[in-house]
Amino acid sequence: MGLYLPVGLFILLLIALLMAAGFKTWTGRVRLSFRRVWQVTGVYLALLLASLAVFYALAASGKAETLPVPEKGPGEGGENEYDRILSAYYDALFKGRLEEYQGAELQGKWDFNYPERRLLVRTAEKRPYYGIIAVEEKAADDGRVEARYYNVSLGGGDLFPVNPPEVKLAGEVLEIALPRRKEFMTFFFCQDFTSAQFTGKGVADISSGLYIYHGDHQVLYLKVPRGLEIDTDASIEHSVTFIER
Amino acid sequence: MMSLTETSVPAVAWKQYRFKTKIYAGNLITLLAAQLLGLLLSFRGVGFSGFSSETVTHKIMYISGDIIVVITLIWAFVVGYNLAGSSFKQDFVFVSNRLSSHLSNIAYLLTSAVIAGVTASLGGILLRVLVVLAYGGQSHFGLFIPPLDLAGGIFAAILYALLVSAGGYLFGMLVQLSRAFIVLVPGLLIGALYMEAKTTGQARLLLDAVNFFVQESSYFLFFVKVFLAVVLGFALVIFFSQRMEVRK
Repeated sequence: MGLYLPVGLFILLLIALLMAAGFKTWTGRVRLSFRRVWQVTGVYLALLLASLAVFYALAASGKAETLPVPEKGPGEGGENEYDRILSAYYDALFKGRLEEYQGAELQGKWDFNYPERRLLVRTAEKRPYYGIIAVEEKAADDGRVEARYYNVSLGGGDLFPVNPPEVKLAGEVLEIALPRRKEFMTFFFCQDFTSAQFTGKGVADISSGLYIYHGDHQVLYLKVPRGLEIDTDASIEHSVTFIER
Repeated sequence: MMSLTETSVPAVAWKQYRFKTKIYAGNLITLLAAQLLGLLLSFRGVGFSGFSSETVTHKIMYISGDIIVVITLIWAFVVGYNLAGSSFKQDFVFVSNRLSSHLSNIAYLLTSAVIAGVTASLGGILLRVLVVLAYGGQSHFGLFIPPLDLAGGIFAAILYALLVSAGGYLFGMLVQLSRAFIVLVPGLLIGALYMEAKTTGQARLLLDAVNFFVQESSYFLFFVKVFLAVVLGFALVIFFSQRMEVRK
């Protein structure tokens, strides 16, 4: 915190003194009609009350909004709950159980017949891919390559947007066509500190856990026939993980 | 001064209060202007976080009416300060004493705090509506405020406004006592905080004072704390004003 508080206090004091000077000018030199003042104030109050009605109408017609930040237990932060969710998700991934795991959302699904013995996996246009590509060898050689794209389910819906790639088979190449970067904007409404005093849902309480966790937790999971040899190029060579069941 | 009409302190205070609500009506316009300024400053969010990968750029904008409330509290402080400075001039219109003047000022500050607290909290609602209407297509979270939470927010905002305006009134009264206080009080406060921050790395004095109110999550205890602080502030004002000379 250091010197921020005194500096902040000084700025607040400066604003207060400026306002005081403004008040004196306003109330001392300019005569304001009492009736006119109440008319203006009445219009403002009417606007505020109308916005209150519109607000509850909007809130009632909108989607159910559960806060994506898990409720805090006594003496712990919301990030602990995220740690638990992410840990379970990656645990399921590395044990090859992502398909059955409830906390993983399926974002894309592709199946290909592929009877060959070698397969090159790479991105289209050689764009680097930094996500995880998990490769699992099936128990039998069924001649099918199954690709699934998963994302962790953090319960935030639009708060964790995903832009899944397209997976294509062209000859002996499995190509991951990365989409063009999409921009997402989310508004997160926090209660005023006056309300948050009794509810604990203010800016300081909510923003703490989100920044860290709205990152990439997507996985491209490939199930390949037994004995299929996988080749990669520089675009994904650091992304591939082989899963042992 | 002599008067043939018998009157009581509460009756005079009530007349003075009604008179003050009229002559200081302009304060409402400045409150309105201040809240609209807060609304404007809050419209683009009070905070951001962002994330970018090869396929996604995601920005989160945090919306809160905190700035509106803070600006309203500054307004409340200024109203208290100005009232201490100018109200006695107005009070000579009436057959009155200092006690009735203080009572009318306290009633005026209470009224101002109620108006400020209600409008500041509803200003936060107006902000939410405007943001949703302006950025309709974007996703949003946490929009809904249960009516009970909103009522709690209004309650707290009124008490904060009363507390701050009482602080402004006390400061204004000290300045009336001696002009030196206009420099002494902020100087001592900021100087003490600066020295404390420099030596310990933290400004605990103010933090503890602020946390005494801000970290109180019980409605009743919060009310009691603010009530006692305000009573203490007004008692000090009455005590100091007894030492003042009659204005020429």
